[in-house]
Amino acid sequence: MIQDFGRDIAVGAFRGYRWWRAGRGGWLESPWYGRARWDAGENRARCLVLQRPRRWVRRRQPVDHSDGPPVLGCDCGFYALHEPPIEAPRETQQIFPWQTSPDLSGRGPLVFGVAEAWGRVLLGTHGWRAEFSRPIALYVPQDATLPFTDEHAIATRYRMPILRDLGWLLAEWAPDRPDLARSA
Amino acid sequence: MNIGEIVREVEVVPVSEPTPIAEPVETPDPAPAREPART
Repeated sequence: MIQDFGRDIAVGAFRGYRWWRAGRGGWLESPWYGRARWDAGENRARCLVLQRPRRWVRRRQPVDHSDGPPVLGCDCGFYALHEPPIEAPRETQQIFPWQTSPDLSGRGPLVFGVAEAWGRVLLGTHGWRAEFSRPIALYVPQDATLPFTDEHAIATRYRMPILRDLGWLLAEWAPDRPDLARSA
Repeated sequence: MNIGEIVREVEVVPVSEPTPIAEPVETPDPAPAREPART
């Protein structure tokens, strides 16, 4: 059964932690499902996935939700977390690859950072799914070497800061903990 | 990602960038009225 929460109104944007894949030319892409390329400004979610019992399958055509993603009964939308992920055991990461330590940002093609969200947002106890999102800050350690691009190309394309210290990212760009209790 | 149990749905209205306000144009003080010449 799908619970109907009603819909609250808020002004501004939610922030959350997430991963991207740093592709050639300084482009950021969704890392696991569909490799969608992100623009610097407004990115609108499309539902491209069909849930199988144990895994996701990418659809050729977007699913036509009447209100667009994110939909309560689906799993679509842009994702982010309220807290940085904690490193999970390797066998868990094979199923939930985002449970990787932010310390590994930039040690391969994956980069860790903060996104903001607006439009329709589904707030979960650990994160959110959103209709619109954009990257606003990244963490790439000084000694990291991205395989397909460099951090300057990303910073130029997205006009956002790339922090060399995870503590700086958490201090300056951490999400405000959203109020999970529905307003009356 | 596992975002846990969904507990709220929110319509988030972004704050638009402020429109730059044009600098006010300084207008000169009106010239003082000339006193009428005494005859």
